[in-house]
Amino acid sequence: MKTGFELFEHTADLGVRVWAPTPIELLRPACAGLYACAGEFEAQGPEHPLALGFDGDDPAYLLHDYLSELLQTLVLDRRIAVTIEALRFDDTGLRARAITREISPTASAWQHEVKAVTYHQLAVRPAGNGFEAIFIVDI
Amino acid sequence: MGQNAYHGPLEQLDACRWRIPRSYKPQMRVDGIIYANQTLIEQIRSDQSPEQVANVATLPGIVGASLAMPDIHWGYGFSIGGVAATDPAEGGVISPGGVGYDINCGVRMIRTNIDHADVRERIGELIDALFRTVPCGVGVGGPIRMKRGELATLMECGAPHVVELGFGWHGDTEVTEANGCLTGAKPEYVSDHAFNRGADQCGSLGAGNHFLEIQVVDKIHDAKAAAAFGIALGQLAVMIHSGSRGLGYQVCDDALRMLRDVPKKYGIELPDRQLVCAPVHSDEGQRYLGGMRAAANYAWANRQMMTHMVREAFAEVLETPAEKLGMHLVYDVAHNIAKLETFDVDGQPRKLCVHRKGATRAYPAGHPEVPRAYRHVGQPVLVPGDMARASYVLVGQPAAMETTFGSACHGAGRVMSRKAALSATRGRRLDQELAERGVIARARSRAGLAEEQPDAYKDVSQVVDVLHEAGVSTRVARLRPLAVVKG
Repeated sequence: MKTGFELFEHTADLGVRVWAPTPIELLRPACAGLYACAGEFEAQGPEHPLALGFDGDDPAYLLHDYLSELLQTLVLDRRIAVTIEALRFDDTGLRARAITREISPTASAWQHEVKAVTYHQLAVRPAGNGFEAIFIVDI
Repeated sequence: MGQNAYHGPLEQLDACRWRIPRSYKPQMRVDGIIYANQTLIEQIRSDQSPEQVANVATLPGIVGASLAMPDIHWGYGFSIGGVAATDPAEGGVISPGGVGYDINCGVRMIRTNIDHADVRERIGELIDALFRTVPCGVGVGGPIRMKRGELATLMECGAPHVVELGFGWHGDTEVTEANGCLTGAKPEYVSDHAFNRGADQCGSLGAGNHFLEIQVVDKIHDAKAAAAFGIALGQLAVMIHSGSRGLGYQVCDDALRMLRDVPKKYGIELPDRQLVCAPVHSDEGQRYLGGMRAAANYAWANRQMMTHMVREAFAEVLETPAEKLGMHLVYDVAHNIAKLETFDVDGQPRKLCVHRKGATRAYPAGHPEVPRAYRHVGQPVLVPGDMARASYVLVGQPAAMETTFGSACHGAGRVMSRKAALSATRGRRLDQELAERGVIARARSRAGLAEEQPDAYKDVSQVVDVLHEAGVSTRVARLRPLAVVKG
């Protein structure tokens, strides 16, 4: 199974389905899926490290917190993760290291104001010979 | 029927109401009741919103029924268009999912003494001035960046605070639900993240389905109520739809995280994570309520600041002071909120926690919370439709107090997903199509406009017809859009 994501329809919002061979490999395409809901972005300027760490025994909640942190960085700091090194994602916690850069205001296009990553239909689960994650963002 | 269609029970009670019986799910504590006619119910069945009505019926302390207005559509946790009242004295809960991320998203309407016929050729200038004056679009901030202390004061004091700062007229808050300020707001419960998200956004429209619209009153249904509201045929009006911006989104998100393990603590079983809740009287419930009220007050301040900008824009274009243009606020209603309100239940007055998630308060004549000037007719209920057909002013009726916890619909209700709406307009110029229908559209993004196209919404006339027929809130006036700003 390769990694990837697709957006799916939800009446007023947007859903994202992510797939990967292992849970830890879901993290990068999940971030890409989140960004795809918000718009198309190009990065510029210096790199800033961002440590992402969450403890807990529910992978769905961990995914939610990971994506929410990335959303915060996007809407508040106007930065996107240009690389993500996923270190751990299991039923004890999530650890990842990201390198972020500013969004280029001229080369980027915001499409939606993503209010939040919701808990509705939120899931991380085995699928086929790999894993999938589902999340819906509120627009 | 698509793969998301609802296949559970829906029993027709009368021409306007459908029941999901309590027997549908063992955890349901009350029935679900959906207001709809035959046409609308077919649309409603096409997604999982009735399932969400049933899920809400499982909340502890829910009273009467889990309700849904005719503009119901699939949300998260609660359906959009959902109403639920819980009794705190009976262990009733408060659920952030019953309010939504955009806390106190709402609508206000400004009337004018301008006759459409007199400015027919100047609508383009007016909408361009609004587009220039009122900040809009994804993440676009307002005119001022507030320091933490200023923001905390604004969250405590709401719209009256920004009126004191010069953003409005003193009469404005008299015709704002709750006078534009909920008591019991606790800015100290609002996180740093939320403060940061809200610091520069007060006085900005946002994006998505938020809008500014110049409208003309094209039909009067109830002359007495229209006269009371200062609404007359041919008159120009402006409608504003926005909420608590990033601050409110963050308050909701923080609360959902805080409440994650709370249902387990209180032995509450839930069918959907998004319905997390806490007893109203618990520490967690009070914490959410304090933060939610702070965000609600921010939203009222936000719409108040935009009202000021709208007046300035009109005054500039027409070279006449806004006072001379008669730009009085008709009313401001919240449609994403939870409030403690008193209703008769089984003949006894009970203070209930009423969640309105995409639903509008609709109090009848005589209610003490209806502004004095309107008390003989009832509270205005503002129902925006899509950007090509119509919007409505309704008035609350006694039946609302008996059947819907004083609630009515909040809009047309979405019927098409954003993706489908975008696909449907591929290769088309929606702004030109709207212009051919007599509506000038200004938007930050063409895709954003396409997602909000008229066909993405139900016909608002059908939605209000249901509540009119049910006697919940009755038609006062219909307004036709002339020009719209989308974020």
